[in-house]
Amino acid sequence: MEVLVQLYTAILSLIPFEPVRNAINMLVPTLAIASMVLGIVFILIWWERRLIAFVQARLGPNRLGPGGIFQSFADALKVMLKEDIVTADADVILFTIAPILVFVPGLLVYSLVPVGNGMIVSNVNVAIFLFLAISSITTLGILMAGWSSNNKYSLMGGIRAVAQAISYEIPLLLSIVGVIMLAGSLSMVDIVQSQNVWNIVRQPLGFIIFFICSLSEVNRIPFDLPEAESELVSGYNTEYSGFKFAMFFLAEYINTFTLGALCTTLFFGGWRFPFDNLLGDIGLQLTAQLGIVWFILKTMFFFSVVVWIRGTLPRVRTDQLMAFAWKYLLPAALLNIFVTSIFAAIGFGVFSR
Amino acid sequence: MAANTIFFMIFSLVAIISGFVMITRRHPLSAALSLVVTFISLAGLYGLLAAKLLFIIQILVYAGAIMTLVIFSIMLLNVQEEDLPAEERIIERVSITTLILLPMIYIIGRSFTVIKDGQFPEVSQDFGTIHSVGMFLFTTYSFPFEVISILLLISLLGVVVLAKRRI
Amino acid sequence: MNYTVFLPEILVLITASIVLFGEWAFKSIDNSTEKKVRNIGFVTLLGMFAALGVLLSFETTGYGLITSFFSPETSTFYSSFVLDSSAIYFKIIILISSILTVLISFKYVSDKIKNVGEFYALICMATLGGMFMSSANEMISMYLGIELISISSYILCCFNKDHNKSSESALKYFIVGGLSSAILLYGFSLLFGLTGFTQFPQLASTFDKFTAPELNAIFLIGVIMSIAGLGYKIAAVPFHAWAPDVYEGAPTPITAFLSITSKIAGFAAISRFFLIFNNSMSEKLVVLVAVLSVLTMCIGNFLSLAQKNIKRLFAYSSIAQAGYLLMGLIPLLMNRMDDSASILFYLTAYIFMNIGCFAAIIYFSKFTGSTDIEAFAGVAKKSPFIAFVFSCCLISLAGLPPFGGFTGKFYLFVGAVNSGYTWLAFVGAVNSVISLYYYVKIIKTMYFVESTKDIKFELPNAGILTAVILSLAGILILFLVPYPFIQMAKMSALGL
Repeated sequence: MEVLVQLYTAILSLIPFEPVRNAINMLVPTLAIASMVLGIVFILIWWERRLIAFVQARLGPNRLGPGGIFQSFADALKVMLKEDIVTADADVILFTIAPILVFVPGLLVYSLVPVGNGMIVSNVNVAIFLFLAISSITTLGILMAGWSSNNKYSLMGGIRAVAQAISYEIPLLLSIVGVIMLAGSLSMVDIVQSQNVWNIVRQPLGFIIFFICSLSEVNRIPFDLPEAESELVSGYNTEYSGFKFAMFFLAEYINTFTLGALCTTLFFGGWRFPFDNLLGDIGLQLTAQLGIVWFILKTMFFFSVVVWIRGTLPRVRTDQLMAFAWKYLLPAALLNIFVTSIFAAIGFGVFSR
Repeated sequence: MAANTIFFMIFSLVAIISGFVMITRRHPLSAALSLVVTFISLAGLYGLLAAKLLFIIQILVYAGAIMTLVIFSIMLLNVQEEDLPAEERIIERVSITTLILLPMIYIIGRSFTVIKDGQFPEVSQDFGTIHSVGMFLFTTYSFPFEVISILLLISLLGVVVLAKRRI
Repeated sequence: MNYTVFLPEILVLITASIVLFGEWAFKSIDNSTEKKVRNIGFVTLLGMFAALGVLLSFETTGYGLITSFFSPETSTFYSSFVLDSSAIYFKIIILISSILTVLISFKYVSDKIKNVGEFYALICMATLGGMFMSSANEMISMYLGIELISISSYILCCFNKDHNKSSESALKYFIVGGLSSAILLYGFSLLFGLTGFTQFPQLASTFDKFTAPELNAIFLIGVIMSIAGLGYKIAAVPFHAWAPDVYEGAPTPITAFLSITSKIAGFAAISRFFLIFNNSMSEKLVVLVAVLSVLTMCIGNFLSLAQKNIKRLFAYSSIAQAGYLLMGLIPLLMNRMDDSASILFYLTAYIFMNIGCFAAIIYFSKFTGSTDIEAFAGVAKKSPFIAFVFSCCLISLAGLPPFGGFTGKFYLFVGAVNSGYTWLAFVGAVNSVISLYYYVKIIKTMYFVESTKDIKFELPNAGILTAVILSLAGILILFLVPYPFIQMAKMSALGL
């Protein structure tokens, strides 16, 4: 992989004008990561359907292509050719903006995630904060979708989504603080490089809180109340069809993949090969050359865990959902910060920087 | 023209226009959504000033959390167009306010012409980073920082007292 | 950093926490609200007395003698918080007024208010806000002090939840308060943007650099906006419109609190803020303050004449009193510290006069069931002592001898005359005569109008009786032996 980066740098240096070079240097990685994510999403959809079928002891899509892998592409083609319906009483402007507002931030945050050694679009030194700031915009899109549809189920779905997102955002933010303290930086690259011992060892409680909260943030089972089929038809996206619906649909998968990417980066060593600093030269080479492979493998693992949870757990009730966030996760996250700060201050064992 | 100036123009224009839209829309939801746009363009202006942390906080707290809550409560109340009270004598009120504010704006605008280079101290190298903001919060402004905790406690208390029926 | 400097604040904060979080421990065995209120109130009083004791010991042992505004020994938290002699004096009178407010509130609270612990905790927090305001040496700290006292007051105003007027008053107060805070912040931000400092001493020192008239004008706009924001706290005239509705709707002890503690804190903040101006700016501000003072006095007094409800009347009367007090800021701006002590002295007298009145209002309106002036007809026969103190306090408010109000007003007027504002003193004197009309009208109703209804009066409880006796003693002592108090005020004013 390092070869690829070097090749890119070499080609870039051939371009004479600096503004053009800068523009291309901004554009190429962005497009590369966006197309990578979008490509992966098609595989993810197929993978989820196969996996959930396996959990439920059935086959899942297996006709189109090897193992049915082209099923998602066929579905995408179908959804794009569908008629785009806007309901009569809908607020047209908001109705159109909403899916974009949900889709774009989901894609945008990938410019902040290091997918490999040196493979990051922009290494901001406050990346985690920026990441959370951008993804918090998504909530507004969901609210807009729910309201502009002028449908009571959509509205209820939107309201539920917001209540849930706001409640779970607080423990989510707090659970990351432990990681930030251990790395001494908000930059994602620094956080990965600080993990000679993976953060899961140092921050088990933080990881559990983080995982639960992000599961809720992306509205996956058991926290999928905003789109609970048995209660709300389909929640905030009930009135959507065609390409706009596809955007919501894709955004959900992108966000779930983001969940995995963030878990990997913050708690499981990012692009680093397991125990690479103990394996000596081989480990470091594996990390340096094949970083993106480890990153995608780890992320896929977390995506599979999410699907596994979907196949296993029932949906929670709204009051349970709220009580869980405020009464258990929030105090636990505060406790985690407290304990971590003490250990980090005295530099105890693996907590030493 | 530098790229900074162009971005400054864009962000400030968007902020002003959406601010204007906010006060002219009748429906509270449209107003709230235009306020979100204002906040985001203000965040852009902070970004241009190299205040990175402020830029993020502006998006995270204002656009992400506070405005979401505002819109949430507007939706929960489900305000309809006909429920809204009539706004009387709006032209007179706006013109009087403008008459009062115009000289002020004129003076403030003019004062930019007399500011000379070097009259104000330059900001330090790490201006706006999380480190320098943290240093400020825990040294120079540690007293206000502590007082805010009491203020938040009071707000919490107020919510409990006002909203809860029987304790 | 010297931590003993904010010991009084810590004591008040601890009291608030005990009252708030330990409310369950104060339940009496027979489950009576009255005893619970008495217990909680007693703890609140204890905490405030402890803080008062610490402050008085500061006054006598050393801290009180440190009068320099910039001295580093008395400032903590990177000089956001400063404890000079004027701050001590302001804190002492803020605490005295809060203690008196708590004293008169017992009966009212056990009758009408359900969340007792929160009520007293919020009074403590508001007092804390006032104390921060008098010590704030920096714009953000001052703003937070104002917010502390304001937000607590908004909540306290609607504690009487069954009463629509209570909620109305809280909402009005909240909206006006929010607007004023915004104006204040805008003013502060202009000052900060111009100088780059939030600390008052640095702000004062950079001011000379702005020689260009445009920058000077911006500075003036910033200052005027800040004064507008602070003026709402003391209900000075263009920013007074909230006062009558809020005073009428709020629970009566809170009305007393707003009219005393809030006002003292507002004057503490304004006097602290005015100190940053050098001579060229203060010349303009003196004129502004004089105009504000005249407007406040006249409008407050003229609107009082028509009031039927006694709480509304006291709202306008307290606006008028703020007008007299604004007069005391003129010597302060002219750097004549000797005369600016009059503001401290009058505030001290004002506490006792007002608390006597509100104690009587709480006591009478409990039995008459109304706060209309007409309902007070003939109460003097039922409860001669309280009616007598009420009358004394009213006469003192009007500024007649033999009470402390006269002495206070005399010094205010002398200060104005010495500063070359004889006409202002004259306007003040004329206004005092006008105010006599509506104060005496209340006395007339109490003594000479026959009551139409036959109402039985119980004896006043200990709290109200103590407050009434203290207020009578206070206004008499301040008239008979004013010299030590004036000396103390002058000493403190030197630190301003």
